[in-house]
Amino acid sequence: MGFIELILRRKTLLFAVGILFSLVVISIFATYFVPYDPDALSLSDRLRPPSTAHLFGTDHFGRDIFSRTLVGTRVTFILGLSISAFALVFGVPLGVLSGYYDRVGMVLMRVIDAVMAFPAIILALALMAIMGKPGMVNVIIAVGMVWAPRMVRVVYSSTLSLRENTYVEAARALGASSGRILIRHIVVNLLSPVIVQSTFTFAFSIMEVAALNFLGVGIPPYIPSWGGMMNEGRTYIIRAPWIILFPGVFLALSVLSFNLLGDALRDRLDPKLRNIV
Amino acid sequence: MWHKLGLLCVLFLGIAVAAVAGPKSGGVLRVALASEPGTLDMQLTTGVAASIPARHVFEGLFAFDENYTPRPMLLEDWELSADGKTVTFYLRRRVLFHNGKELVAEDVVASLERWGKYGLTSKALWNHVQKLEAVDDYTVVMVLDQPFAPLETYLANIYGGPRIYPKEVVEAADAEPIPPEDYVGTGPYKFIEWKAGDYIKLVRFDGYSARDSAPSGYAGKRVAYFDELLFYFVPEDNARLVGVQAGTYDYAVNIPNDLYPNVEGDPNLVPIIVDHPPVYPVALINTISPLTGKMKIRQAILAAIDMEPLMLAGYGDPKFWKLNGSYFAPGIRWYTTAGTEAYDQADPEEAKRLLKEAGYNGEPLRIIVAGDMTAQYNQSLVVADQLKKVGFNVDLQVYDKATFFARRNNRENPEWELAFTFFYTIPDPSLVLPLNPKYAGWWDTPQKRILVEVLNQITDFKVRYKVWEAIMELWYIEVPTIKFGDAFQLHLKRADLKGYGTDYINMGAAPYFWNSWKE
Amino acid sequence: MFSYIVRRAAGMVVSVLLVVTITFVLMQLIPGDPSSVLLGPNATPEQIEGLKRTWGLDQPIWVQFYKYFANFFHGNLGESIFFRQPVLRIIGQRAETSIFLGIMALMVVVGLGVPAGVIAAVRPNSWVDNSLLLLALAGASIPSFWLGLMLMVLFAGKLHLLPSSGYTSVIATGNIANLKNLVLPAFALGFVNAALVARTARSSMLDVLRVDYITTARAKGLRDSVVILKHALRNAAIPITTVISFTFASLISGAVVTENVFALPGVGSLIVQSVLKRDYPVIQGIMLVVAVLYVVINFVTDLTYAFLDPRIRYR
Repeated sequence: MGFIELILRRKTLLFAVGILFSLVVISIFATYFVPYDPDALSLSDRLRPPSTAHLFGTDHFGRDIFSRTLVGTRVTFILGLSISAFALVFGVPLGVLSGYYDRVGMVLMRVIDAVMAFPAIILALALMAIMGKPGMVNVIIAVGMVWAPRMVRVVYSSTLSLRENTYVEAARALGASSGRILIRHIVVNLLSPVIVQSTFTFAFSIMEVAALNFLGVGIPPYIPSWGGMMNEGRTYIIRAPWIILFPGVFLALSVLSFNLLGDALRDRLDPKLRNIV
Repeated sequence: MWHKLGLLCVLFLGIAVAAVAGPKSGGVLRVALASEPGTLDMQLTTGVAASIPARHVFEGLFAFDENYTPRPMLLEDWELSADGKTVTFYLRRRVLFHNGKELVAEDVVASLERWGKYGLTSKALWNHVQKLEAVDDYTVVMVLDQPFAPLETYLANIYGGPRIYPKEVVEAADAEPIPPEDYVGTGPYKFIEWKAGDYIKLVRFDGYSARDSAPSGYAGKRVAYFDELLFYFVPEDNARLVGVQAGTYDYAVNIPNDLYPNVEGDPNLVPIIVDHPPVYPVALINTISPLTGKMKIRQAILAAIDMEPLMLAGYGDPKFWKLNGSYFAPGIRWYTTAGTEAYDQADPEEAKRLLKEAGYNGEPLRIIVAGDMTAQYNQSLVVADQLKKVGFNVDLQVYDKATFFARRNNRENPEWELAFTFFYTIPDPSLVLPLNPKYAGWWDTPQKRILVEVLNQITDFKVRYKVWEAIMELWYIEVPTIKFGDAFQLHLKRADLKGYGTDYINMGAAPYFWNSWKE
Repeated sequence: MFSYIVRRAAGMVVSVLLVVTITFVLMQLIPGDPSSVLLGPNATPEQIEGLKRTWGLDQPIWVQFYKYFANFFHGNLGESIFFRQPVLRIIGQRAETSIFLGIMALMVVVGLGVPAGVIAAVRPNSWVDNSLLLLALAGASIPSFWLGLMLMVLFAGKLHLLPSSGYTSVIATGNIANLKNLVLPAFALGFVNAALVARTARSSMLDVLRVDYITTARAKGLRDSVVILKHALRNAAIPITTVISFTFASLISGAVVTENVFALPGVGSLIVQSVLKRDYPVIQGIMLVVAVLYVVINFVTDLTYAFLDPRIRYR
C-alpha cells in the first residue's frame, strides 16, 4: 500500500495532511495576502472583538490578530523546522557513531544519559538563561539541545540493531570499509526512524517554545509567533479571549496534525519502532 | 413620653449601627503580591514588594503622613541646633522589640551606622555625618559637618532606608541581608515565617506600643485588628484577580488596568485606582555610551516621542494615567512645570533635524526592557516604533528582570542606550534616583553636581524649590531620562475589607493593613 | 548477574558525576547575578561587589568548583542566597506540593487514560475509538498553561466551585480540604499525559485481545466485560504501567508550567523563580536532585528488567 493510498484511506490522516499542507501554504504566502501589517500599532483600536474589519479581533496594541496569526505560522514553522534540523544535525552523526563503535557509544551515551536526566523544560530554561538574550536563534539552540539527545538515542538504538543485520555482516565479510558500510547500509536505513522522530520533535518543540514564552524566556514577544501571542494574550483571557484563542487553535491544530502524521508514519514505516520512539 | 421613647430607640439603633460598622478585631487577612521579594531587610532593598510586608514589622525614627510630611514614629521628640549641625533624637520609652527587649539608644546607633555604611539611600546624608552616639538609653546625638535639609525625609524613607533593628541583629548581619529568623522589629505585627515561593506570615504583636496621635498615612496610631497577615506571592495576573473574585485573597496588588471592566460593578469587589501618588514610567538614557553620550541625540529622542500612545499602551484607559513631565505629580509640593515645555513634543521633523546636526549615521540604538515588566515592555514597543520613524536604527532587546537589571547597572560595559523602568513617588527631590551619579545612565555633569550639592545643603523650602526648578530646566536640556507621564496602578480588594483606601487615605502603590479589619 | 550490576553501578556513578559537572558548568555560564536582584533595581556597584565577596562569587572558578564538588559529596547542596537556608531544606519544604500534585495528576492520567484506551480498544476503528483517540491527541496538543488558565477562570472565577490558586500544606495543618486547591492544577497537568496513556492502553489492549487465550476465553462463552477486565487488562497492565512510570517524569516537567499558573509553592515554581532571581545554589540543587533521582530510578529499572529477563545481562 503506497503512502498516498494510506493517506486517502484514513480520514484522520487526510485531515492531518490537509491541515499541514494549508499551514505550509499560509506560512509561505501569508505576508502577501494578510489585510494588515502584523506589527502595525494602532492604539486607538485596542482590544476590539472579532468583526468584519478584524476577523479575529485586535490585541492590546490594536494589532490585527488575523494577520498576526497567519504570519505567525511562518515563525512557528521556521522554529519547528530549525529545531528538528538542529536535532538531526547533531543526533544522526553522534547516534550512528555511538551505535557503530562500541567505545564511542560507551562514552557518548553516558553523557547523553546525563543530559537526558534533566527534565526538558528545566534544561531549556537553564540554557535560555545562559544565553541571556531571548531570540529565535537562542531558542532554536536551547530547545534543539534538549531534543538532540533524544534523536541520538533513537538513531543509536536503530544503528545497534541494523549493524547486526546479515547484509551488514556480509558487507563487512566482503571487505567493505567502515565508512562505506556506515553510509551505504546504515544511514540509508535510518530514514524511517529519523523521519518519525522528527515529526514528534517538531510537535513537541513548538509546544515547548510556547511554554518557554509563558515562563518569560522565549523568543522576543514582538515577533508574531503563536506561543508569543498566547503568552501576551493570557492577561486578557477574561476581557479579550480572542487574543489567546485564535493562535491557540492554530497551535493545537498543527501539533495535533504532526502527532497524527507521526503515529501513522510509525505504524506504516516500521511497527517495531513503537518501542523505541 | 412617646417621642422620648422614640429618641431612645434612635439612640439604641445608633449604637447598634456603630457597633456593626466599627472596627472588629480578629481574623486573617490574605494579600496577593505580584512577586516574591528577595529580603525584608529594607536597608538593603528598594523593592516595593518587600516594603509591603516589611512595613508592618519594622519601623523607623520617622514615618510619612498622608501628605508625605515626615512625622516622628519611634521618636518622642527631636531637636536641631541653631547652626543646623547637631541633631538630638529623644526615643519613646517602653517601645518593645518582638523579642521582648526594650528599644534603646544603642539599637538606634547600631542600625543607623549599618545603614550609613551599606544602606542603599544613605550616601547623600552619611557623607556629612561626623559623629553618632548614644548619650543615654533614650537619647541619640548626630553631628553633621553641614546642615542637611532632607534629614527627616531620609530617616522616614523605607526604600533602602533606615529601619531600626536590635543591636545584636545588626551586628550579626553586618553587610549581608538579615536572615528571616532574625526579622525582629518594633512594628504592630511580628514576623513568623517565610515559606519560599508561597507566603510571608505575620501575627499581631501584643506588646506593641502605639502612638497616641491620630493616624494619617503611615504616621500616627497603629492598631492591629487582624490576628494574622498572610502575604502570598502570585505572579500570574489572572490568578490574583480570580483569587480576589473567589475570596481566596482579600487584597491584590497590580491588577492589569485593562481588566478594570471585569471587576467594576461586582458588589463583592472594590477596585482601587492608585492615583495618589502615581508611579512615573521613564526611559533611562545611557549618558556614557558613544551614541547617546551626545546631547543632541538624546534631545532628538525626546523630540520624537509622542506620549499619548505610549501611555495608552502602558496603562490602558485614560482614567489610569495623566500626561505630566514633572518628576512629581500635581498636588505634591515639589511639582513644577519648569523645563517641561520640551516634554511631549511629538515632533518628528525636529528629531530628524537634531539627528542630522548630531551627524547620526545609523549606529544601532539598543533599547533594553524586562519582558516581565509588562507596562514597560508595552511602552518600549511604541517608543521603538516612533524612533524608527525618525530614522533611528532601533535594536529592541527583551530580557527577564534579573538579566535586565544586571545589564542596566553594568557601568564597566554598558551595552544599551535606552532602558525602560519606572520610579515611585518619593518625598524629596534629593532622593530622585538619576540625581545619584552612580545610578544607571550615569548622569554626571558639573552643572548638575553643583545644583544637587546646593539642594542638599539649603534648608529653606522656597530656596530649595528654586534649585529644584533649575535642576528640572537642566534635566530637559541634558535629557538623562525621559519621563512619559503619571501612571496609576489598579489594586483590588474584597468589599468586606474595611479601613483601607476608602476610609483612610490611600498610600499609593504600597498599602498597609494596620487600622484595617474585615466585617 | 554480579558483573552486570557492577557495570551498571559504575555507569550510574559516572552519570551522577556528569550530571553534577553539567549542572555546575551551566550555572557558571549564566549572565546576570543575584546581587542586583536582591539589592533591588537601584543598587550601586560597591554594594554589589560587597555582596559578591561575601558569597564567594568573586573567587576563581576552579576554587568554586572544588568547593562545590566537595560539598556535594558531603550531602551539602549549599545555602540559598535569598532564603539563607540550606537548599535541601527549601526543596524539602516545596516537595509536598509537587508530590501531591503529581499523585493527583497521575490519578487524572490513569482515571481518564486507561478507561479511554480500553473502551477504544474494545471497538477498534469505530467512531468511539476514533473520537476518543482524536480527543486524546487534542488534549496533548493544547499548551497546558492555556488549559490551566481556562479552568481557573471558569471553575474558580465564574462558578466559584474551586479555589483559584495557592496551596497550604496538608501535612503541617492537618487539613485535608486543602487538597481542593490542587484539583484544577491536577486536571490541567494530567489531561496532556492522559492522552499518552490512552494511546498505549489502546495498543496494548489490542495486542492482548488478539492473543489465543482471549479468543479461547471468549469461545468459552465468558462475557465480554469479564474477558476485558479480568484477562486482557491484566495482561496489558505491564506496558501500561511502564508508560505511566514514564509519565511521572514528564509530569515533573509539566509541573514547572502548571505550578506557575496556579501560584503553587512546589519545586517547579521554585526553579523558575530561582532561575529568574539567579539563586544559583537553589537552581543547582533542584537540577541535581531531579537528575540524580532520574539516574537512580533508571538504574533500579534496569536491574529489575535484567532480573526479569536474563538475556539483557549479556548485552
